[in-house]
Amino acid sequence: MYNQLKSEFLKLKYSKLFIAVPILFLAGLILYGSFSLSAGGTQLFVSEGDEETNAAIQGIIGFFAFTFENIDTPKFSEIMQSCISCNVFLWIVTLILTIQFFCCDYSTGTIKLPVAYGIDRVKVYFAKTIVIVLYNAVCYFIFNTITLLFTCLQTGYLPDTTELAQYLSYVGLNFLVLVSFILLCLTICICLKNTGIIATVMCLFTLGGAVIYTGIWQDFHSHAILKYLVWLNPLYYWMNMGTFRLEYGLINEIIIYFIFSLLFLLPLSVILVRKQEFK
Amino acid sequence: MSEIICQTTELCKNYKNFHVLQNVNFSINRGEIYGLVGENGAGKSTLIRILTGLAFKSSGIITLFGKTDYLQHERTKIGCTIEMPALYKDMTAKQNLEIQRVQRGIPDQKCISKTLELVGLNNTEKKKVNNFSLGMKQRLALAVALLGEPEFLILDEPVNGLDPTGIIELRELLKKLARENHVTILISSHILSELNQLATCYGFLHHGKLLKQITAEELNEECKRHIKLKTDDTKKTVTVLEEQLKIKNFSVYPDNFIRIYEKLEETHTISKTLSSNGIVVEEMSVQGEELETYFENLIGGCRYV
Repeated sequence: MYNQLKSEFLKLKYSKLFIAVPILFLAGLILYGSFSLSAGGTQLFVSEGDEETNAAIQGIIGFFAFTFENIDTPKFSEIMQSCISCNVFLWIVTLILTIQFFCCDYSTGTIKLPVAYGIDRVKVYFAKTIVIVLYNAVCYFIFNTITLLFTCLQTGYLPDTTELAQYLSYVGLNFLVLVSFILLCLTICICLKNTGIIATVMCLFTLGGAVIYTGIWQDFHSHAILKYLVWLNPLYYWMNMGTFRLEYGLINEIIIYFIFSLLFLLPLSVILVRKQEFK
Repeated sequence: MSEIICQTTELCKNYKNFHVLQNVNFSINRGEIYGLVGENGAGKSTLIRILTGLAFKSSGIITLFGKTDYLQHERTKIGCTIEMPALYKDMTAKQNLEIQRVQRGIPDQKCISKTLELVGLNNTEKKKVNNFSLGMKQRLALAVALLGEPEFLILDEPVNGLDPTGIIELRELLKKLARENHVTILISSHILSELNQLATCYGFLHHGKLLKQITAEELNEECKRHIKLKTDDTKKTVTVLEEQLKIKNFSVYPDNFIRIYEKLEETHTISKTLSSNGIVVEEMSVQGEELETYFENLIGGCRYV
């Protein structure tokens, strides 16, 4: 397994993705920074709700970057909200990294080599998954650290240890969703193999889910089918986290989503990989 | 008795109702260069994919290095190129080999430069595979297959895209590997004249069936131009051939067929002499062909090969 991990890491190191992913993250940071500079402290989009009656954020769901009740006396919750909202860029980058890295071996035919040389195909799958998750994790935590630093510097807020721990727990929860999203992408990759089709399907699923959720979120539980579709969507968790709706059992939902990925998507992928024939 | 490296028994592969391979039985001994011949869609690549574990058999037995179970472990002794060269195009030749070396757990780092030198790609330096010619890609794919000194090489169309010099070099390299390192080679190619100069054994695959397995000597014998003769009295015919017609170069086969390898233009004289000695000629024809013609006749007509 160590050899597989090392070789997958080498593949990543030698590929363009190794540079492209940090560049995309940097682009996300620049975009995030531009919100604060261009809009003078208030940004809001992909949202639905009664804004007028909710000067704060109680009736709104979606993306909040640099949304403060009072820019002169920012709260840490608002800073956190701004930083977590900024994670919207990560879904796209994660999607690109996962699809490109996993499907590269399928498109070049190099996936056949380890199999033909007697290497367990499940080991190859796990090595790929681990490398994708680890690389995403590194980029993700660096990204979130920078956004926090940047936002704190912009607002002049100095968080204490408890606040930092709280931020870390939110970022950690969001990371569980990110891992689940990666596993979902990988399952789709094994089934479809074509990067273009996978990207289209996943973009439609992810963004479509977000749009549906913003439309139905106020009476979410009354939509039987759409509710389950939204639950599968990572943006559902991100949007709720971005607006601090953890009190509605979101933590449990995130943990269930993560466990579902581990106990259902991972074994499903292993079964598919074992049964797969290579042309 | 030679050690059998690869063997299939009643190997079948079906896709729903379509039979890609039907009861294929063949065996390859250590040190042999086995030429797999067949037209497009005959099942060559499917057979190779099943041997390498890329596809699953529907029924039958595969034996690799004497084992029928846990073939995954036996496949660690195999090197292969399957159809188009499988390479990382945005990497250099060295990086491609480095990944394969690490993945297969080959400890010797020097094997990369040795293998690159062996296939003539030691001067590519920082050139990306994307900028390689097809011939260079074929060489690199071969280098990937040769990494770790495999005991059994499976090569699917390895000469595609190689220039004449490259083809000769590859041929000599494969011969050397078989001769000196006792590497067993299974090679499928459409260029039959090329196989003819390389293979020590042939398997002819047609519509998923192995029509014939034959050694190079037997094939040369079959392809050698000769007069095929059958009479009602073989013993007497032999005497007449030797004493009256002074023919020395002939052989008698168990089915009483006689093959005469000289005086091919004198069929009329031979026939007349035999008749004058009271021998009834039941069959007489001039035979012998190129490998292409032999294959065409075997599958029952001219096909694109």
